[in-house]
Amino acid sequence: MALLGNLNDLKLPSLIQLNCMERNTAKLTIEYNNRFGFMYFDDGQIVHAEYEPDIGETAVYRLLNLPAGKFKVETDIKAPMRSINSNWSNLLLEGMHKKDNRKETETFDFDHLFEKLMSIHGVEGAYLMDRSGEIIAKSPEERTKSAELLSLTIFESEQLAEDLDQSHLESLCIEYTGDKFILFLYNQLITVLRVDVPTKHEKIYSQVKRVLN
Amino acid sequence: MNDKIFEEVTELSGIKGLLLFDYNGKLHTKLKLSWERQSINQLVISLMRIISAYFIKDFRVHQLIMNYPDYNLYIRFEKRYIIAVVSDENVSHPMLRMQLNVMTVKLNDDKQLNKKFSIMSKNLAKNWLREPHSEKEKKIISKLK
Repeated sequence: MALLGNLNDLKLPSLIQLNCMERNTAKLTIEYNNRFGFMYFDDGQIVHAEYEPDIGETAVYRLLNLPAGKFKVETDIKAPMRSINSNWSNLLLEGMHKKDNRKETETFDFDHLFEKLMSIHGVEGAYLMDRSGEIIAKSPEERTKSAELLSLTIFESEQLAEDLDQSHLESLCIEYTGDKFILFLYNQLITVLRVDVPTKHEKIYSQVKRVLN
Repeated sequence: MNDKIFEEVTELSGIKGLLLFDYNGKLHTKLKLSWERQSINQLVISLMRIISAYFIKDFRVHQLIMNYPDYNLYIRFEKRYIIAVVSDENVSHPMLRMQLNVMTVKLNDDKQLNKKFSIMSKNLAKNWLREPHSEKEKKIISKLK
């Protein structure tokens, strides 16, 4: 028999705790705005999650961020695959931590920041993302299709910083097929500036630093 | 390879070293740089993964500049080779750009030399992204596909 309910009445973290502490094997379906997410439990551990386009831990974090939704728990249904190996309690803690961080960034005045960044000569667009390439905020009409490529670029550059005994990566500039981006690492977030190609990176660094500080 | 071709760049004030390698990751030239082999390998791998990710999405990276507290890395991606210049904050960027332009024209004109270098291809890009990497890196790369 399936358990049906609303996330306003029973929050997702409680639902997860319940299934894990009872050592359930079950499928949890969540519906929000006609989109469906799934979480699978096996002997009290979260073993798989899907929320398009993500699977695994990222899907769990995104599901934990949903403001509302309906749920259905069907017991004795096995996961079609395993995408999660972390312990459920660690996963839940990390998810809640991410949610708290998001709340903090939501109170920040991004409009004012983007206004100042866009006033710098050569800057055509701007956005803020986290290290996984997830967009936190963006200037009006800015395209963010390069976010994942840029997040890989940051990741590799930070790996290199470790290898070169450098404390951190300060910024980077990348130019490819008609686009040029300058990225600054700022309070755990990455500020991405799309600049016109002739703009020299060294000319705008100090101006951007003044705005960010 | 004749090192004279690189002198206009390596003799600029603030230049700590220069590397030239091809898209197979093979190092052809190393000048002035005091880095250990491991750091050079890490640089090559990191750059190849970055450019490969863009390449499989049909983007061609032309240049990349990484700023660390003690180094700037200025990287030019040409059709058959990659040049990485390590500098400190005293380098004149306009001068460096100009000398790199001159140097790449000379290198591109050298047909004999270019025969030695491998061109980038989708298969090569996929190979670079297939190399072993950390869980975090795997996750980022899997999102790109």
